Amino acid sequence: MQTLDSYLSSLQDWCEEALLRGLDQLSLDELEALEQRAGKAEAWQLAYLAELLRQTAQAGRAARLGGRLSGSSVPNVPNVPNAPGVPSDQYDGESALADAFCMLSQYVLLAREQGEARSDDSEPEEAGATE
Amino acid sequence: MGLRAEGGERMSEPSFRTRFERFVRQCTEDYLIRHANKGLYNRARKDLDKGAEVAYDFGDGSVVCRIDGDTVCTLTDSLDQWSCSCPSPSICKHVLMALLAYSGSADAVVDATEGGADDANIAGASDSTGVSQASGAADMSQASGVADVSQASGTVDMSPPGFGWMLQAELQPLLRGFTETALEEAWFRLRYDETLEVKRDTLLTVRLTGSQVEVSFRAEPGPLEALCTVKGKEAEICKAEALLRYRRQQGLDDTAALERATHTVRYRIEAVAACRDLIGELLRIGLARLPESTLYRLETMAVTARSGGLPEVERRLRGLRGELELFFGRHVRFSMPRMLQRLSALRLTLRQLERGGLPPLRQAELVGSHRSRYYTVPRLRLYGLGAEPWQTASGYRGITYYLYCEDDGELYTYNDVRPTYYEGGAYDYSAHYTASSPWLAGLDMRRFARAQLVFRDIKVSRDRRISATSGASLEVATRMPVEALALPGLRCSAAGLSAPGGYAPRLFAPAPERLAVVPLERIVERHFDTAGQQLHLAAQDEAQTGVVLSLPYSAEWARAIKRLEEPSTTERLEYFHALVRVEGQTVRPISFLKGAELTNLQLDLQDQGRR
Repeated sequence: MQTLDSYLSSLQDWCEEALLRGLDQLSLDELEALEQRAGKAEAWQLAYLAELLRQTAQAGRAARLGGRLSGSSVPNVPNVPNAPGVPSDQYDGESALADAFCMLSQYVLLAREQGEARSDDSEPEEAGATE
Repeated sequence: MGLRAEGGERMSEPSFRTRFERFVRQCTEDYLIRHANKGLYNRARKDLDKGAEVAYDFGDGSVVCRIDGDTVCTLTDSLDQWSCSCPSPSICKHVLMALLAYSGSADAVVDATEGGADDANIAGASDSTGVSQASGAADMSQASGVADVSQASGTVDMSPPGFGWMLQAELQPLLRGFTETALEEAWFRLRYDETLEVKRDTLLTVRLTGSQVEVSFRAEPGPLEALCTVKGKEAEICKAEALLRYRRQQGLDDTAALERATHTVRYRIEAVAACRDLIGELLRIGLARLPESTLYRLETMAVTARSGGLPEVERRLRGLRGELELFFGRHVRFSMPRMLQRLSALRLTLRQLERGGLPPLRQAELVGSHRSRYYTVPRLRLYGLGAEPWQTASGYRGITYYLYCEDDGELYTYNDVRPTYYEGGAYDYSAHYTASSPWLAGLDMRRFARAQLVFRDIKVSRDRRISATSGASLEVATRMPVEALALPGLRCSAAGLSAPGGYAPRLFAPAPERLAVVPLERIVERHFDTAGQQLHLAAQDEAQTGVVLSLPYSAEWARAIKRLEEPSTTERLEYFHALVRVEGQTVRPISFLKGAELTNLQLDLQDQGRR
């Protein structure tokens, strides 16, 4: 359990770093490394996570190299029926990367949520949140 | 099946006279007695038997009836609208006499002036002011031809009449004509148990015993045509409620159809696209390189989302702005995971809204609502469990009062909230805590928080928030000791707090809060964690199971924290209950309860320190 958590934690770190630096700054090497992590996810039998990792890497590559994603781009959430997609001309590589990144982030955060302290709007915060 | 379809083959709209005749035919003895009362009905009958005469003068949308030449009443094709020259404020015997005399008269059916315009009337000769007298000889079902045979067999002649339409599988056609608000209110009321008494004669009467309302449905399809013992807007709600409760009693599940009927959301797709692009831009640029002007762009976008009909997106954008402000200010409270959570959840929400195809309830959850709808609950008994001050990153401050309801075993809340994102927006906790309650002058909120209350006609939202609007009456009852309350689902042992039970991931909506009332024996240790900036109170229950209650420090509540840290404040406190909020592994105390006493840790102790 420890190692799965540390694996998910490393993915969360990757997501946070990408958020800080910006998705524009992701290099092809980093995307390659991300794709390799998919193998680890499969070893944990986390097939959907593996798919998300691959999609993020592919979308990132398409955005870097100026190409468009083929097919339905970001995988749908399981159990949610296919909805009419965004027209492909609006759905460029950058958008696909942002969506794939958000799906990956949400997966990792939700997976880690069970044992972690929750954070939401209802939590009282110290003054300084405003102004 | 209906009149309308068959009538429609011949003419688009039957004349008023035809509609009136149909209506008179539906006015069975049961129907009239239910609408008025038996005494009135008998008096009307007796007067007619004595030879009272009624003259009818048909207009385009009403008929003027002169009873014995002096009393004049105007009738339409329903009992919802009528008037009478007599002083009675409610339905009078004259209205009944006019209806009974008409249904008893053969001559009145025939109208030469109408014959050409509406072939539903059989040809004949009669003056529009023809005098009728109750004779009982006419067979009304013949008067309006084929269309009325089926109808007549559904009402007067059929025994027992069929009310199959009330149980038809598809609910949607039955709800036509009801307003969305009435349906929502009726649906909300289904949450509360109610005993039904169903009586069948020529009408099917559903009596809601708790609210003492009777709704009588007729054999003809149309729940809105039902009779109801209450009038006005409330009648529409009661008719829907009675129909839905009756269907539920008969084993029909209308949840999906009601969700569709009551959750229609409208939003502007352009606003969704604009918000999505902004979030996409933030993600592409990265937090480290974002200019501070992003804060203004987020605020502007929040306004766009609001005008685009996306209140939940507006709230999330403001939350994001608050978080980003912490980031720019290098504030210790800034949390990168929370930022990632906010950004990615918002982006995915927008993506889902753009794609559409979600079930109505989920879609409504994503879009949110500007103001929650509140519904009236006849009686609500509440027991104050505690109050807690809070502040959010999205710019709101307020106090939440937690109240336990014995009637349904659920936790209700009252939120006293103000936005602080406006310029000069402020909220003084102490002033609001000591202010008078909105429902009962002389009862301040401090006492409200620790009282046992009985509300009447209080408005409650779907997530059990009670409304401050006037109109509700409030009584303060003698407070029971907390130990005597059952608190099902709320009372939790110290060991049970750490159990992960009830975890259900929520993708879009914030996860519901987990609150618990924990019986504790005493507090064994108090210490302030300077690194984590929180006060830890180590307590244990009777089974000697330990639990750490953690209260985060903030300058505003410094006095309360200090008092809690002093052993003298809590060392004599034994065998008490704590209302706590469970956030993952952290247990946040809100109030301590013992017997009928209650202490709100932040609000009360801060106050005591000031005095």
